[in-house]
Amino acid sequence: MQPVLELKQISKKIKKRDIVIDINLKVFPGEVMGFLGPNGAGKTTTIRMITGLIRPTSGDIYISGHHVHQHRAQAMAQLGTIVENPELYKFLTGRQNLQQFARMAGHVGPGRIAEISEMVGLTGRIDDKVRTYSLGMRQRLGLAQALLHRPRLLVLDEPTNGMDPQSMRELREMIRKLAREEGIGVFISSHQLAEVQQVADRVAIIDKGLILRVESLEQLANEGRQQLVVTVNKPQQAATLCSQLVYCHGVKVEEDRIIMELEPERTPELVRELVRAEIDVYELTRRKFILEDKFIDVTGGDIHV
Amino acid sequence: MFRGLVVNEWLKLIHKRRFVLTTAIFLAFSLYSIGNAYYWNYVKHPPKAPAVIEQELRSAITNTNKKLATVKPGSEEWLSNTEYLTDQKLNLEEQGAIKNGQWQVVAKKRIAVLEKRISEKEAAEKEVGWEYEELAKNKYYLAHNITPEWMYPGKVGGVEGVYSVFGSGALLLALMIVLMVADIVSGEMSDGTVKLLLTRPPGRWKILTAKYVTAVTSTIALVMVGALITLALNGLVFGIHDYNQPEAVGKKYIAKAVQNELGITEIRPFADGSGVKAIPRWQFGLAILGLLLIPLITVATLTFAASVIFNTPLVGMGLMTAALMGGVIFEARMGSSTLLLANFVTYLRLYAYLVTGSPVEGDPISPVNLAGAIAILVAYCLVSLAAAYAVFKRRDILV
Ligand SMILES: Nc1ncnc2c1ncn2[C@@H]1O[C@H](COP(=O)(O)OP(=O)(O)OP(=O)(O)O)[C@@H](O)[C@H]1O
Ligand SMILES: [Mg+2]
Repeated sequence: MQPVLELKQISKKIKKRDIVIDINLKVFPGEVMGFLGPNGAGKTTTIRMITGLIRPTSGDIYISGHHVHQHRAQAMAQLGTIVENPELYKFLTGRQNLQQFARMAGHVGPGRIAEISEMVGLTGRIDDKVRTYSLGMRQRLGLAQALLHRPRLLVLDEPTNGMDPQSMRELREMIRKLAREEGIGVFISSHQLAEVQQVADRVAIIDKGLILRVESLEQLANEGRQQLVVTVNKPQQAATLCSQLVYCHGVKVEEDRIIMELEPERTPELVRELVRAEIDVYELTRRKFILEDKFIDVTGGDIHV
Repeated sequence: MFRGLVVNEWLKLIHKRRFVLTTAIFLAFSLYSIGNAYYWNYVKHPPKAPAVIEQELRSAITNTNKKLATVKPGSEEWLSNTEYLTDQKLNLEEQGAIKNGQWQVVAKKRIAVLEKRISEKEAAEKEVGWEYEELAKNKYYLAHNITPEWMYPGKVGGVEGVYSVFGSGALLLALMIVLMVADIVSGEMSDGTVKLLLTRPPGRWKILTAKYVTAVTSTIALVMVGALITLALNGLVFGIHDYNQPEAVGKKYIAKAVQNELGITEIRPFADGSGVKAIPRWQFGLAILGLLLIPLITVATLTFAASVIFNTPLVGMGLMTAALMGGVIFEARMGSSTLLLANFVTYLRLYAYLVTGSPVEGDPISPVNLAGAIAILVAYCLVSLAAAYAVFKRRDILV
């Protein structure tokens, strides 16, 4: 199957600084790929290259097989995007904004603007000036302009910024629906990990311009052991103790809790050790390894990749 | 598709209220100018009664006759007083014609007097400029059977008012164009909306061309709308009956070595009226508008280029305003110089070539002729456009 988005050996230097280094990625039709990384990781820079706003220092990008710079028109016809913030023409109404983009796409049918405003839930406000919109409403209009011309690839840079939880859920549902029902490939960046976890099929993790790993969500969720969270009176002392035990891994201290990975059958053994060291245990809980922790592990630097 | 891009740009211009704002400012200026003309012609200098005018002319004739008796015949003073006497007598005859309608007789007499005067002066190698202009106008009255303006004393021409507004308002118009065009590209950079434009199928050069087309067409539209409204207002206040009155064009100045009073040879501007002809006022007005559009389109082009090259609208606006104001101040202080003649601001007065052969006020001898002036402006446009396209084509959009 031809990927809707393909990045081949993409690097970008800005003022002699490496911002993005050697990225290879593929997004397939119907797939939602999360693009995760902390602030300044290079997410927006990568998205600028995908959308043709900046040129990679080296490497090639293809949208539905069309080279973003050599066959710009064909590539852009397949792309819908919001880069960084949904900056729209504030002095125009929502509808007038969409009409601008319809004229630039060339093939947008007459009913499409009404249809898309309905879809993003802006029908009631579509004839108001964008100046009067809230941030969340601007995000919706940004989404509307991205989807107006029925692209094959949707590239969203932190689209939930400014949205309330209800809107976020709606957005997630919409993205899933577009991917499942219309086979659109979605590339969505975020540092809000929980949000990506709920919508993505695969996740690419970027830090300091490098892709650290690309993994399916199940893989990420299933790998590694379960975590044990122990609330104690002397967390530092407990952590030192646990680090010396061969069956405890990745011991961390979080306020009055220590967190570690260990196999469930070893739990009573651990408790005995703590009691012997005169450490009081208040609470013991298990939790599943969630993406957030994985993400911190992966990008945290001191811990193995 | 390209038309759609231009439509988009025009809609933005209109919804940003740029076009309305600039038109309104120009209109305010135009209204001020009309008020001024009204004050000047009807309040400060109210039309005089025919009897008063005749009385004044008669006493001028009597005084000149007395004076002539005292000066040496054939001397410079005698010659100029004789000329003045002849003109006052003709003016008195005009007053008679206003009553009996026989303006043709006066026009014919004037033509005879002017032709004689021109040949005498040319034989004596003296300056002949306005005589040619008067001659051309009087011939025009007769040839086209146009009743001369002086037959309607106290009546101000509304058409004349239109192009006088545009002549004096050239700098203001240039500033309005800067205001209208300065953020056409840089505004999208600073607002971040450029990202919406450049992630669409049309390539960057097409987007930029649509913007340039909009900058130029809006400049033309501003001048046209301004002219039409000014014409309508002038017409309402003064009437447009003067649309077919003649205007003389084509006078030039040449450099001529003459001896001054101290006997030193110096170079002086010398009027040369040999190329003068008369055209109707409406044509004259259109010619002025046309000649005004060339430097104004140059201003639009330079502002457009500044808008591409600098990412903040304020920089382009500041630079262009400084260039325009600086150019005007520079001209007033320095007079003609190579630097001045190379500056586009000097050619805001391109229309002056119609009547003096030079764009520089106070220095009517210009080594640059009209074609040369237009070539200079075109060069400004081409160079700035080349820079704008080169910069925009490869620029990384990091906003
Ligand atoms: N115009 C620029 N000039 C120089 N450096 C830049 C420029 N734009 C971005 N950078 C640098 O590139 C790096 C990546 O920035 P980028 O905006 O891609 O990060 P990001 O992953 O989108 O971060 P965030 O989560 O904060 O949006 C940062 O270190 C940033 O300082
Ligand atoms: Mg970013």
